[in-house]
Amino acid sequence: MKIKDFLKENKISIGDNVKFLLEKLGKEHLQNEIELKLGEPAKMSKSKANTVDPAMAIEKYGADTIRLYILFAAPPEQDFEWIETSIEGIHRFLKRVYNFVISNLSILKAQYKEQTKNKELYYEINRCIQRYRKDLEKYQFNTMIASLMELFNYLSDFKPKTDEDKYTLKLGVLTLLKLLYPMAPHLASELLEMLEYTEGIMLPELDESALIRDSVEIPVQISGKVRSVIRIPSGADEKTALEVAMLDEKIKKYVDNKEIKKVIFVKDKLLNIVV
Amino acid sequence: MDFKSIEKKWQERWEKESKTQEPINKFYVLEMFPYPSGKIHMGHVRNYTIGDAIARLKRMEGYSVLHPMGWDAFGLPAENAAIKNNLRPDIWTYSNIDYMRSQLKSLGFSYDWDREIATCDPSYYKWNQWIFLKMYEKGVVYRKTATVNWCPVDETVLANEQVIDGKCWRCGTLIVQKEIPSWYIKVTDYAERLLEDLKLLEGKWPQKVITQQKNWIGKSEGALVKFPLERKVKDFEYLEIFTTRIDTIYGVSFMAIAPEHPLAKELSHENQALKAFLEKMSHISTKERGTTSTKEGVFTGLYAINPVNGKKIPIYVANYILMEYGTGAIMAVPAHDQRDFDFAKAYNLDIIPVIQPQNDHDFNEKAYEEKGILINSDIFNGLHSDEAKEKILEFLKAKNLANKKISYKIKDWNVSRQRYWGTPIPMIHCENCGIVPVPYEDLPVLLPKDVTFTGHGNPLEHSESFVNTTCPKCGAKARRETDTMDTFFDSSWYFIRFTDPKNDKLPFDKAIANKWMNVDIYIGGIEHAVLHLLYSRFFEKFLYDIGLIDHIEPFDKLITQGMVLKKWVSVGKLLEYLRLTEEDDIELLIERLDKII
Repeated sequence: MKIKDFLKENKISIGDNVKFLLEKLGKEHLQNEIELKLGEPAKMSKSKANTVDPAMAIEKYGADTIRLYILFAAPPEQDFEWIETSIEGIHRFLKRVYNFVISNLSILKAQYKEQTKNKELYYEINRCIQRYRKDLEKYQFNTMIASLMELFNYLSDFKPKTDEDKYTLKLGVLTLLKLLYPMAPHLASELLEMLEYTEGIMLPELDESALIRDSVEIPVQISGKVRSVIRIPSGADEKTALEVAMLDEKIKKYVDNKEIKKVIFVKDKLLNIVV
Repeated sequence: MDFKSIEKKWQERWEKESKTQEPINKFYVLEMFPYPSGKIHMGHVRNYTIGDAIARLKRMEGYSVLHPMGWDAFGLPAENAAIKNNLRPDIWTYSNIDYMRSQLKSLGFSYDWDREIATCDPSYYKWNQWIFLKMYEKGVVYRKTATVNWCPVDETVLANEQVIDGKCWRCGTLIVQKEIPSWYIKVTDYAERLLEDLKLLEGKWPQKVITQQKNWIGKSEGALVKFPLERKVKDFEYLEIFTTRIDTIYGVSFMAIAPEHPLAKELSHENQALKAFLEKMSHISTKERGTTSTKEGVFTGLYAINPVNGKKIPIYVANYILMEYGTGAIMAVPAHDQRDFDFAKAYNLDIIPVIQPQNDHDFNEKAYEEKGILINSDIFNGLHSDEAKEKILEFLKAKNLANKKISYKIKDWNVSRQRYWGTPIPMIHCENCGIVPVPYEDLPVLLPKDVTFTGHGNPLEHSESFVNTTCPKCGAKARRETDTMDTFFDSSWYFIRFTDPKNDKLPFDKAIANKWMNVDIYIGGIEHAVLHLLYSRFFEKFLYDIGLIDHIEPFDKLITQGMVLKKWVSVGKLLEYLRLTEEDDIELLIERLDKII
């Protein structure tokens, strides 16, 4: 029998999705392979029979996974290709978050007095908040989620020893869950409840001071006269020092509306702005 | 992790808690509401996931968030289902809504379901009718003859998407273009404001959408020019054309008019070839004609006189001229307009360059469309196009043969649909009084339920209970208007209704709407860049004009979300890859398939 006649007999046309042909030949198992080899991404449509039914996807992975995957796949304005293995990756991520909270429940539920934090971890928590808030302005959910995944890696690798560590870990997990909440609200709500967190879910505030690691204080001169002192990360470059100096009210007053002629910077020692 | 029970638990809890707070420090997030087609697709899921993440984030930032959902529930598919399955459109629609609502809930979207709207609900479409009457009062609604796709067998008007290869989608009969009286909205009166206010959206709407709207409005400054006819034809002494390039008037080698132009009809009485051509054109939708690349036409036998140099110019009827644009007639300058060039090549007409090209240009190859220095233009030689435009206009104006004219591409909006499943247009036809609007206190004009769906004609015409009424003015027997509204009418103001969805005195309370509007973020597909988003802007301006709202633009920020793609392979592609053709044996295909891994 000619292919032409076989297609006709089974009411398949040459422009149809190959899966209808494979079904008739009993070769459905080849579809993935063929798609990998020859597939071209196209808008999901009935005519191309390349749709994914949301109901089935929810049944298999749950709403949180689908939501998180869709937001992670691309910024809102861009097209993205639905890839099953990527969804599985997202699903695993949520499971890891869940399992992590469950297995650290006693540490995370305990009450700690407000105290000093583990500097390293606290830095990572705030760096995540900083990036998340910045990307939020443009609704770049994909990079917001990437920051959360990174934070989760720090949290899950962290081995708390002291109360200070445990307190910081708890803070980190609460931050992670709150930031995850808009995208995966069910799981985030469930875990926050498990941790007996009862305050409303508000967007975590950024603690700028936490972002300064091993900082030093340096005097800032305006045309040779000391006008203020600023705190910058040790080893920071001229650009960073200048940025921090410009946020200082006293310095701002001297520099505003004036032309900066020259900047002299001695690492970890001094900044001199000549106006 | 038992996600199913976790998700169920929280969805139930949220449903109880989902009340919207007072609009203090408000934020209004809206996703384009769906058509209840049966079930949601992945495009919906993406759209609403983005919206819900934003709504939840804004609540986390302390805003009082309005995040509603509803259904754009009137439209053709329900009526088609009714014809096919003999199922009432309302039953079909509401059962789809129920199913899709449950699907949305299963995704955990934090909508305030107390504010749910279905546009097919009389409590909603009553206000469509109310707004329509306001538009009628203000002279924004008027009646005009429209050309529609008509199936002579089914005796029904067909939407463009129901015409397949020029034939009726149901019975395969060749469609004809038919003229029927229709209700229009004067969107053109708002063209300048719709254009001007796009400036308010710069930086907040995607540039692509702003550009599309600009092009759709299509403002052009040009001139109306009268070309005297060599002989009077009935009442026609002149052929009036619109041009944006009066500077090229010395390059005119023929005139082209639309098949619907009254002069064409008049001349067809004495010209068989012309008559045949008009007949042929009547089977092609104007939409198709506007986009075709083949230029076709026929000489009418009549000449016009070029008012600048007295030259005799042949008049053609051409398929690429549309009656809706300008005057339905153009002066054709093949040397400087590509469409005219293509036509001139096909019919062997002169190509007369009147603008000096900047670079090497072959006038036998294509038109030169840039502006430049005039040549072959008598006393205007040596002038630049911009200056020549003014000078030539002045010259002809002195002879009463030309006038400056600003023209817009945007057309008035035909809102009449000859269908059942839409908002009945609240008008009454009385033999004594003519057209009489339904009094406000008689709204809503309800859709009747004693209707059969046969696919023949408009079901409303056959509903005695609906059609027969009395004239509100003189009390005599009268007939109801049977046209229903284009569903774009429904979706042009639903976002304001969400602010006050249960109001039974007005479409919405002004104070409440003012507090919640504008929509802070509106999210939807790019395919709505012009129609829906332009009509919504128009409605907001109209509602502002009648004092119902204090805002002139409805949507502050717009996000047009991308598509969801998936890999696919066609049968043809597989055969090609396996180096097979349809003529090969199926066994060979099976053999090669097994080796593919």
